[in-house]
Amino acid sequence: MKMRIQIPANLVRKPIVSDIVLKTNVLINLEKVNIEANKADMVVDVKDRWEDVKKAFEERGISVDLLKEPIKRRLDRCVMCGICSTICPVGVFKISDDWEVQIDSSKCIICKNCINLCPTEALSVDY
Amino acid sequence: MKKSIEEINQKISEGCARVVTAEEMPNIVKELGLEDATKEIDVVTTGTFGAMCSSGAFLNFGHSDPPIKMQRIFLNDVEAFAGIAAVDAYIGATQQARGPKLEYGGGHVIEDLVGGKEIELKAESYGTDCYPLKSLETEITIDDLNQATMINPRNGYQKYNAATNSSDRIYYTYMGPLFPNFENISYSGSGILSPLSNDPEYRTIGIGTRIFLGGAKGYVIGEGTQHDPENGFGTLMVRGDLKEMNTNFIRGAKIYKYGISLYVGLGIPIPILDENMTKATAIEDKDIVTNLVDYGIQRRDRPKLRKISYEELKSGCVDLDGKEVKTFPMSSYFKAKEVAEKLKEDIIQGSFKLSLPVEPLPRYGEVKPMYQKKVNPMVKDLMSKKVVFVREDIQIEEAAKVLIKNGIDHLPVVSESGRLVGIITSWDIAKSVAKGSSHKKVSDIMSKNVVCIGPDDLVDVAARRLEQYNISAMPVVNPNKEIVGMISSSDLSKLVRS
Repeated sequence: MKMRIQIPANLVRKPIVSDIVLKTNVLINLEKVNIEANKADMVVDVKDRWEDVKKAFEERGISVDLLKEPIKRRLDRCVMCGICSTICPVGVFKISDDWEVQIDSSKCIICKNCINLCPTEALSVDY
Repeated sequence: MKKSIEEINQKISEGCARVVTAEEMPNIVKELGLEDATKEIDVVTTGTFGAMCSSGAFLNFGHSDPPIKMQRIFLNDVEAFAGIAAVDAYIGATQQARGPKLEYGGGHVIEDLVGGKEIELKAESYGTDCYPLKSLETEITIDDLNQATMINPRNGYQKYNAATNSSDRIYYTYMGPLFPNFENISYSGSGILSPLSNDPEYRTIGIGTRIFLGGAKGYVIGEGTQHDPENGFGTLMVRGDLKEMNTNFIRGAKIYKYGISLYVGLGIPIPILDENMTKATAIEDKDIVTNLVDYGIQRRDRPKLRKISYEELKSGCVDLDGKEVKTFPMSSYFKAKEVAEKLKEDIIQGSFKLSLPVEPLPRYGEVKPMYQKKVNPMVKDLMSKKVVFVREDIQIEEAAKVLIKNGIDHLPVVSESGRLVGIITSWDIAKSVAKGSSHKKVSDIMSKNVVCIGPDDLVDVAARRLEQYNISAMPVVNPNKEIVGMISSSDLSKLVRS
């Protein structure tokens, strides 16, 4: 399960992820990390027992959003060109054998590169 | 075996014409052979759906009261060409909106017109005795227009150069984002479904050929601009009625960091008049070969790296000197298929008849480059050839002395083998001293990602690069990354003085 973790200013300098890994004994894959002076924003992927990890973050006062379908496409805008497939670092977009552009939203790490690139403004993210 | 266009149209009227898409044709010919396929098949439909910048529409607004001779016209803040009669205009696909709406342009105005949306119309004039009104603001839809005629000067490229990038920077082009060091390849065109590739001798596609354009009937009105038949890059000029089109086949496009364009769905039915037409329409992606071009070279004559077929391009992965490079399309093959299928359906249902050209397209001739009276100078003509540089292992103090002794601000840094590996400026040294940093060597504080340029690049490219990266000078390097000069904004200002 992919989650978006937003860490508030007072916790930015604490080794929270390591702490949670040690306490829960669950592996956390950091897919995107953006640490600033007064906040941090991460996308993590947790394969097993993600509920435990979510709870552990929340117990520490950190908000967690589950990313079930982070990237959305308006089918009335999409022309199935497939330009998005070149910019996506994690392979969300796949051109099928009959040339339909298919989206596997579960892979998305919300880098948003595709949003700007889409010529018909068919893509959006909620986060 | 020969068939006339009248016989084929008769069969269409009777509902017994056999119509297939150009995708289906190769297998049919393989199965039946040329002779039987010619008897069996009457029409082959083609289709393409790509960003076609050379598109636009003539609009007639009708006269206001009092009348105005529109001198400048804005549709949703996008300027339309008004240098024709009083209330005629041409809205071009690539024109960008004035003001903050940079992601909106002519292509979107055309889509919004076709979609029946309200469009804000503003016009200015100087006023005459017969056209006294000097400014006008109203809202219109396509239904309010007398004519809305799409005239596209260049559509339906027979095939198009594929693009890659040898440079060490990402380039945002009309062929999409091209990653550095040949990391990706983009292509456009529908290959096996491409109209002109299915009739490369232009026997059935010419002036007067009835076509599918943007969801409506349209016509070929001549060869397109930059028609290049001798090299296999023919183009078409086409017309269609915007009022009959639909947004499923006409779509505004924003090419990231490049500009605005218009996706146009275009399809042409090809009558199977004889075995030669059967043979022509049996063409496959592997037979349609284009050039792979290096867009990393910012010149008109970009190097052609090699020939490349649409089969390779469409496979998603291409071998480039032993390296696997991913490809991506700029045009939509999915929609191209939809165009060919829709046209096939229209013909089967008898609502679309075929026409032969009244005049053929030119089969000879090539595209000429622009005649320029004065040739722009190259970087090597203006750069300072005396270059001071240092090795990466020297002390920062030494580098500071070199800067002062030579009265310069930029000091390129080279490796033992003489290749450019970094650059330091007086600012980098000042910053290091001010911070009381413990760094000693030049290599600790230099910028490693050096913006540089080649000696044969044009000075205009150099000026753009300095501006883009907000720097005042950069090293000039040969392909081996050896420094051959320095070019600075003051070198470029010599151009203005001379």
